[in-house]
Order: sequence, then structure tokens, then C-alpha cells
Amino acid sequence: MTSAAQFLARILDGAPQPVWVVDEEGLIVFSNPAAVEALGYDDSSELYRRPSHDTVHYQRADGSPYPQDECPMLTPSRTGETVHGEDEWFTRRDGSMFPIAWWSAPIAVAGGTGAVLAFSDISERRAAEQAVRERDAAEIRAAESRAAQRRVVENSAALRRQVARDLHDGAQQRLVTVLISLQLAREEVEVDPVGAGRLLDDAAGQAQAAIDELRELASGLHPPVLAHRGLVEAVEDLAARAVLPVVVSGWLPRRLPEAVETNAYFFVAEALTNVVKHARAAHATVTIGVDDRTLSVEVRDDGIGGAGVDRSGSGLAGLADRVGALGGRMDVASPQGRGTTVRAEIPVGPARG
Amino acid sequence: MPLTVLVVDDDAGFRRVARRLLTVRGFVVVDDVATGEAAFEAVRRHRPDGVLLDVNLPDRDGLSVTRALAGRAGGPSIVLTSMDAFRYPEAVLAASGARAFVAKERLVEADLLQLFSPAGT
Repeated sequence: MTSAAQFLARILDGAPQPVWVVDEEGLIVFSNPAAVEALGYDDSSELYRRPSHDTVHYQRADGSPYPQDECPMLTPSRTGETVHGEDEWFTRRDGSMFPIAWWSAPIAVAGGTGAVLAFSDISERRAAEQAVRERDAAEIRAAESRAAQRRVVENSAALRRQVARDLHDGAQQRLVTVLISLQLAREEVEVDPVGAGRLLDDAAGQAQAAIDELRELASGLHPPVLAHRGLVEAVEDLAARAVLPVVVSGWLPRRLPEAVETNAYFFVAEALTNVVKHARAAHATVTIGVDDRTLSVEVRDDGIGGAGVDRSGSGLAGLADRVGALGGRMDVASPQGRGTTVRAEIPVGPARG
Repeated sequence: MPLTVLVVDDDAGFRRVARRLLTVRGFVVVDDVATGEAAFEAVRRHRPDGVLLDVNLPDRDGLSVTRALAGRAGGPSIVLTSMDAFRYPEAVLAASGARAFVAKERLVEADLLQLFSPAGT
């Protein structure tokens, strides 16, 4: 070999880039040490004059057979055009596979036109891309979870503001009026007992109104029946007060943790509010059940359907947040014109004792 | 001649009991209304000597109503009232033209006659 040829040979020998050449029939006529090593062989003589496709490229990544006429890597010897790709997989001598990026160009060989191929093992790059995808997915999930938590916090702050306003405008106003009536009655009781008596009647009426309002408010926060009699009875109470007929079925063999029963109760309350507001339904049912690890609560109506979690104002997002906050999941089935079913499954610990 | 007073508050229960209190104290209650706009109308119609005005009205806040009413010469003596514990700083009260602020639970013990009398008497 001339010194120039020797230099070229040394380049191919020393380069870390796998290179090989196939002849016009697809047989391997040259492979550099990097290619031999990448494919798990010990010496280029193991590859010499073997058909490249049937030796390293005969199966797809899932192990299914890869016919040679579908392979793009040898086409340069026919078309004279350089080709390149990133989605092929080679099989090593030991049967293991790896993904490659590759370039294939036509090259004159003794019997005609063959192809010179450079390929690279891109397993690491693929793994890095997968890691980035997984990290992005994890970040999206984390952002969604934070957004849900923020909604829960904002809703509870809004609820507190509403309660404060209701207390201020309602019961507090009533009590101030009661106080003034009593103070006046005290002044008048000796000089004008009849007038004082009228003031006292007025005060009694205002006091009763305050009591009713406070009872209503407490019920909105945490109904006594829920604390004393449990989830099913509290839901039956809700059903009885609803403006459309609601049938409650199911039973609980044991009391569940307070947070679970409270959230399940408000899940039903809000779901029934949605039914009244949006569903134009004639009837609704609530079904409650628990097995060893999950409380299931389902509210179904026979209304117009078509509800979606993303549709703002449908009220479903709030329900989903409430269930999600307890680590549960919510499913909605709402085919257009065929009613809506919302179902919550909330994890509970196994029965104790 | 008895002094005339207008009651302005959005709660009907309070308007009723305030009317009773003012009557017992010797005032003539010319009207009781629920909004700032109605207050302007009633003052124009009755020209009362005094106005008992809640600071939390549904359409305007009591201070802005006070400024509008007290601005005119010969305007009524305005006593602001509220269920809430806080009171306006003296400077703010004086600047608005109100005569005083009296919390609702202190109205019965307050000297309403003095508060609603024209200034200087």
C-alpha cells in the first residue's frame, strides 16, 4: 500500500466510528475494528463475505422478521443516492439488539456498486430522550397536582369568606337588633309595660331567626346528622331535601374516617347541586358502598348528559379536586342525551378491630 | 319642636328597632330607607335635622353618602353606625362631615339628642 493508502487504512482502523462496506450483493467486504466491536464480534473475519442484512439486520426491535426488501440501508447500491436514518436496530453476535443512527452511500466495488455504511449505537441517546420525556411528564403531573391543591385551598378560603359574610349579614345583624330591643324594653318595662312587651316579642322573633340561620350555616359546614348518624343517613337527609326525587341505596357496615365521610357527603351534595343546575333530570340515585379498601359513591341522573370535566361551570372540576385531595379517583360517564353518572372511589384503610 | 330624623340601613329589622328607639327618645322619624340613593331622595324630600346612617350600604359606602349630604349648608347632622367593631379614625370622620360614629350596640345608651341637634346648640 502507498503511504497515503496506509494513512487512510489507519484512519479507518483507529476511528471510533463503525464503518463497513457491502458489495453489490449485500455481502460484507470490509468492516473496521469499531464496527466489529460494536456488533460484539472478535474479528472482522467473522463478518467477511457474510450477508449484512441477514447477519445483523434480520429482525425488528420487537423480534419480528425484517425482510431484506424492506430495508432502506442497502438501497444506495441500486439508486446511487446517499441515505440516512435513525430508527433501525442491529443484532449483535450474542443476539442482543441496539438502536442505531446510520448513513449509507454508494461506493464502487469490484463487481459493481456497493454501499459504505457508517452507523452508531444510540442506546444512550435514546435512554436520555426517554428520561427527558419521563421528567417532563412527571413535571406536568406535579404541576397539575399543585394546581388542584391550589384550587382546593382557594375554594376553602372562598367558603370561609362566604361563611363570614353569612354570619355578619345574618345572625350577627339579628343579634344586634335583639340587643337594642332588650335595652329599650329594659328602659320601658316600668313606664310602658305594653310597649316593652311588644319589644320583647320582636326580640324573640329576631332571636329565633338568628338561631335558624346559624343552624343552616352549621349544616352547610358540617351537618350534625353526619357527625351523629353517619354518611348514609346524612345522604338520605340530603336526598329528602332535594328538589327532585333522589333514591339512596347501599349501606356502610362501619363508620369511616371523618375526613372521608365529610368529603363523601359534600361530594354527593355538590353532585346533586350540579344535577339540579345543569342536568334537567327527572330522577337521581345515589349508591354508596365500601369494601376492604375503597369507599365508592355514585350519583346518577336521567338528564341531558353531555357533561365534561373541562367545561367550566359544569362543577365537575371541583368534585374531582375534592376526591383527588383524598387520594381517590373520579369517573364521569355522560353520553349526550342519556344522563350523567359521577362515581368517586376513595381509599379507606381496612376495617379495624 | 321635635327634631326630625331619617334612618338609612339595609336591614329591615334594624330599621324597625331604630325607629322605635328614636321615637322613644323624642324624635320624629320621617322615613326609613335601605340604600344610599334612596337616602339622597329622602333627604331632598323631607329635609330632616338628622340622619342615622349605616356605613355598609348595598349601593354606596356610608362615608361617601355622608360627604355628599353634609357638604351642603344647612345639611343634616349625620351619625354613622355599624355592627362592626372598628371605627373610623377621627381625622377621616371629621373630614367626611359626619357628626359622630356610634356602634349599634351603643345606640341605646348614647346621647342621641345631643348628637342630632344642630351644631352649636
